[in-house]
Amino acid sequence: MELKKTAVAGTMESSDIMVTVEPREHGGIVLELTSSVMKQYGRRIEQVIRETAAELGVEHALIRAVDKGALDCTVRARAAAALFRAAGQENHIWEVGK
Amino acid sequence: MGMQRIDHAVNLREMLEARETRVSKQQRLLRGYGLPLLSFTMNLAGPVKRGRLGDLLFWTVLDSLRESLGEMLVHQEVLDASTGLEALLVCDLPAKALKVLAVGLEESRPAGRLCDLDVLTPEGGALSRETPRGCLMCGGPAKVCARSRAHGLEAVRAATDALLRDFAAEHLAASAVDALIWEVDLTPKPGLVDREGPGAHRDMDLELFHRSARCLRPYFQQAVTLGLARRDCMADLQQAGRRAEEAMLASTGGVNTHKGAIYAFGLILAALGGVLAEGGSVYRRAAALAAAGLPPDTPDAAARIRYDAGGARGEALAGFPNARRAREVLEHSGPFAALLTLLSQVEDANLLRRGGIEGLEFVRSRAASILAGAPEMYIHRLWELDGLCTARNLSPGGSADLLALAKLLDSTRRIWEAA
Repeated sequence: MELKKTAVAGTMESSDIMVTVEPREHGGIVLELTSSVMKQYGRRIEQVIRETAAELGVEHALIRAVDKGALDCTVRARAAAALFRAAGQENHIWEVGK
Repeated sequence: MGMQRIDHAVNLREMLEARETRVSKQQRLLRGYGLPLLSFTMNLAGPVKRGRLGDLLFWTVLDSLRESLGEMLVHQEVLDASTGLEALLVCDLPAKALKVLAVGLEESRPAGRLCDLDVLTPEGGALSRETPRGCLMCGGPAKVCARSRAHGLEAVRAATDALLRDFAAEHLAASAVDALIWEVDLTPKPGLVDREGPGAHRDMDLELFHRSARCLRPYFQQAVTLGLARRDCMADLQQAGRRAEEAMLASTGGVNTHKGAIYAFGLILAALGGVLAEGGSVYRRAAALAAAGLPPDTPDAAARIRYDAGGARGEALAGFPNARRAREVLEHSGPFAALLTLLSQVEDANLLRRGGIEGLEFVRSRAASILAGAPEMYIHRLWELDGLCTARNLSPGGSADLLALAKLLDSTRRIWEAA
């Protein structure tokens, strides 16, 4: 999937995560993560976001995520929404993953 | 009337969309007003975000918020959706003061734990609590337990439900005490205890009524809890009622201030509990409870039988037609019109006992004639009737109970109208 613009999904409310995606030409997936539960769940959140990007065929992007204790399903949905929006495909945002 | 059913499960997509929509509304309001914003949502675990008990808590907290904010509330938006009730309040006071108010409200009652009152600043930041919230179940850091689903949804929902039931019982009991105190304070009332004097009573005064009303609070709470738990709670309710009578007599030194109210309020409060648990008509529920119980043992029972009047139980069995009408009059025409409506229509067993058919007819016809006249004259003519009733030793205690009941029904409208 080709990214065309910077896009955001999610909020800074508790149990949510705000994901910002910026297109990149090269350099792989760079993930900047802040989380209220970093110690316990930082690695898990990073894994879910990277998996989602891989599933959508995104190879290069700068992804910034500010997590407020979102569950895996929410992390996946917000990451996918941000990636789809960045690709200009607003309508497909919810049809990825489980 | 029946509200649209919105207490169904919502899915992740709906919840996530609702959050984004709320945040974009918040940003629009912050930009538009340049003032702090209070965002009020409910914190209820699981896929069902609406229910009568949670809604009652939301509206009650929103009412207290609006009352505390007064003129400082500049703009409000309230969303009523299956994804949850939400209120966005633009407030003209410093964000820090707003946060103090919000945390105070969250912590003023145990169920405040289920309310999220977030303060957003015009600069776009959120003010967080000085001490992070504890988990509902274990008191540990809430954010960690929520993320790990440490306690399981069923246990969290059971704890939530218990908090909500306790809140409803306390809230309705407080409303009931307020209604009794409002009624006795209403002045003038013919022959009845009011702020100007004891009317046709030698053994009572205002303070006695206040004390008696306050001592009934635990009973009122119990009545709601019984109604929340079971439909067929009349035997337990009557037992609680007998204990409440003992407490009343102990607090008044043996004077019967609220025996009629104990009966009628118990029925209506248990019925409101039933409505909160499973919906339906509050009046039909109260009538069904009355039908399942024994007649109340009041001094008026004998007079009632002698004169074949319905009395308190007749009113209850019929679904409280007089209290219901009085509530409508109270809402549209005020307390004195409601009092006069009751005086002109109720077969008041207290009047029958003290003055016979003649006494009852005297009060009914006088009240009807006042009611037919100009509303500006109600108070003046009620003073006159007060003098006449006091001189004739007439006291319409049944109407007084029904007026207090009308007040309780009016202050709990949101519960029984939505059902």
